Amino acid sequence: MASAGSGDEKAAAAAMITLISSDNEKFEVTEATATLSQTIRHMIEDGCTDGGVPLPNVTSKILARVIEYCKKHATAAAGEEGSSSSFSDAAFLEVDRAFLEELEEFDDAFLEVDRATLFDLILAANYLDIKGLLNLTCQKVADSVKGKTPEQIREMYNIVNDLTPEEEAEIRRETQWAFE
Amino acid sequence: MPQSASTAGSDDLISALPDVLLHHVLGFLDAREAVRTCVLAKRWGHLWKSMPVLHFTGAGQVQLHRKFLDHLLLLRDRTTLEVCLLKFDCYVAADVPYVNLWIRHALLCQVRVLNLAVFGGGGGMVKEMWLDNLPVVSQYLTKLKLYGLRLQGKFLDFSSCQALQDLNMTECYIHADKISSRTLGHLRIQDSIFLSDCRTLISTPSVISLQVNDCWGTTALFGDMPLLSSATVTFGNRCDDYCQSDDPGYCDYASCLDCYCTDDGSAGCVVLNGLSAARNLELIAEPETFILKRDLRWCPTFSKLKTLLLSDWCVDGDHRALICILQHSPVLEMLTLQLSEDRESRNMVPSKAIYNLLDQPFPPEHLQSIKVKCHEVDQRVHNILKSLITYGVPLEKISIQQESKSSECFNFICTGFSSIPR
Repeated sequence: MASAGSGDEKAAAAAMITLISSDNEKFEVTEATATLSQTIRHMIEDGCTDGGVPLPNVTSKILARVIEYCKKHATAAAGEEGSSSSFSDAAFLEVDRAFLEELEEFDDAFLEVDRATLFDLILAANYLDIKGLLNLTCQKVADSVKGKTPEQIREMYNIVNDLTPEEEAEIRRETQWAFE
Repeated sequence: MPQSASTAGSDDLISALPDVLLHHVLGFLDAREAVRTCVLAKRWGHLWKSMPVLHFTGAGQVQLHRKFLDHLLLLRDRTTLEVCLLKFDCYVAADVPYVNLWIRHALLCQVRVLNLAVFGGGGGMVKEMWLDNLPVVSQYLTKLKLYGLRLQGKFLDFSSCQALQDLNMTECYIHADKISSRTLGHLRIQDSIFLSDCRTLISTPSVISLQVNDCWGTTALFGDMPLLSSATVTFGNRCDDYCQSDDPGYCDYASCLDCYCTDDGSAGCVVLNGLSAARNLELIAEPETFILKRDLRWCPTFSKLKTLLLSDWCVDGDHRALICILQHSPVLEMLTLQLSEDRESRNMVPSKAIYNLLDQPFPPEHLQSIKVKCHEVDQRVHNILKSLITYGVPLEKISIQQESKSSECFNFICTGFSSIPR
């Protein structure tokens, strides 16, 4: 795997991948960035990335955000690899800690998006199989419903209650043990 | 057709997610909250039944949650469990069979990641829960994390867990002669106590990373770990290994069990032999710690060791323990010596401990740096430098990092030597 952000331009140039969004916009990214997506990693391994990788399920707006995430986290992954051999050195741990904090700040800021974008990111993370991004975005949704009543959740996410009163009563009887 | 959620402002985007993604979201909720989403709408009615991740934290007594967990586990679909995390505040004796039953049930559901934490009993009466002394049988379990439990030999024999990769035990009571797994790659035991009659043998030949920190009782006997990459072993001051002699590592009594015997009565290392394949190693102990110095009599060759961190124990009294390890680390590149504060006042009587010392100086050709971390550059540091130089370490490879009380850090590279005025 090529290392990201190493400044080795020759190696980086050799390992550039073109991603093509559903609205036909092209994005050039390093292989290290692209392979955070298991889906793309498999495509690269199968040698079918010449001429670009079409991603018909992802719009350019969302793909740009996804790439922003991957770029940041690819650097983190490379950093982890680099420091693993000298794990005992407190100076390295210090750097790691600072970097992890920075990464957390990045993630927090990254999640400052409107709800529609958040769900698009979930779908894209799932389609591209980017575990970290999927966890990050799904956790955000889970956090938003924590401690809320069913009515509050419905209102927050525009969920229409299509259960008849009889159906709802039956479900509540069936799951009474969860409401005690 | 592009799949996009951002086309409308008032759509129900969450219900439009496929089951696999809603399950993923529900997996971040506590199980009770996750089940309760069933009344939101038809879409949500049955989702909980196939949730692959159960995350349950029970405040208060286990018995308050029995009804919920029994219903959840019995009424959910017969689908596989990926992750099962159960955490309880406190329990009474009558709860024990239930917790054991839930664990077994999770295993029958082919759980891959199992995490059980039981905090001590309520009312200030701390007692750890016994897990059934039955073997864990699963072809699927990859990660097992246990907190605050009493574990016995059959449970800790993981020969029927062919997929187990990761075992983590914290604040556990280990009543077992052996912890064994042929597949385990990552083992972490911390703040736990070994309570077996003989030394608990850690038989995990596939382990790549090992952490055994601040355990008490009789130190475990480390079996061969030829694949070991990184290991950290930290000894608190609570381990029971000791010798009547007040000179750790030196003992007149040939019948002294702690000094001369491992579990089967044969002489040899308790800890160090098992760690001898490590590439990165941290051995941290108080000066009084007995077991490491005892082991140095049979010091193995650390033939792959690249980075090493040692603490006060190896430079207490004299420096032969340090020299002995360096002599047995032929490809060592980086050594860090982490010295704690206020050791100056200790009696510097040379130990009579018997170490497997070699006559030759250690080969320094791979050694790139030795870093001494201390609070003060005192006589002790001065003596260490002298010893290292005597054994052939070039001065320019040694650096000193002083961490003063104001948490500022100074780095020195040694350029010359003069005696420090007392």
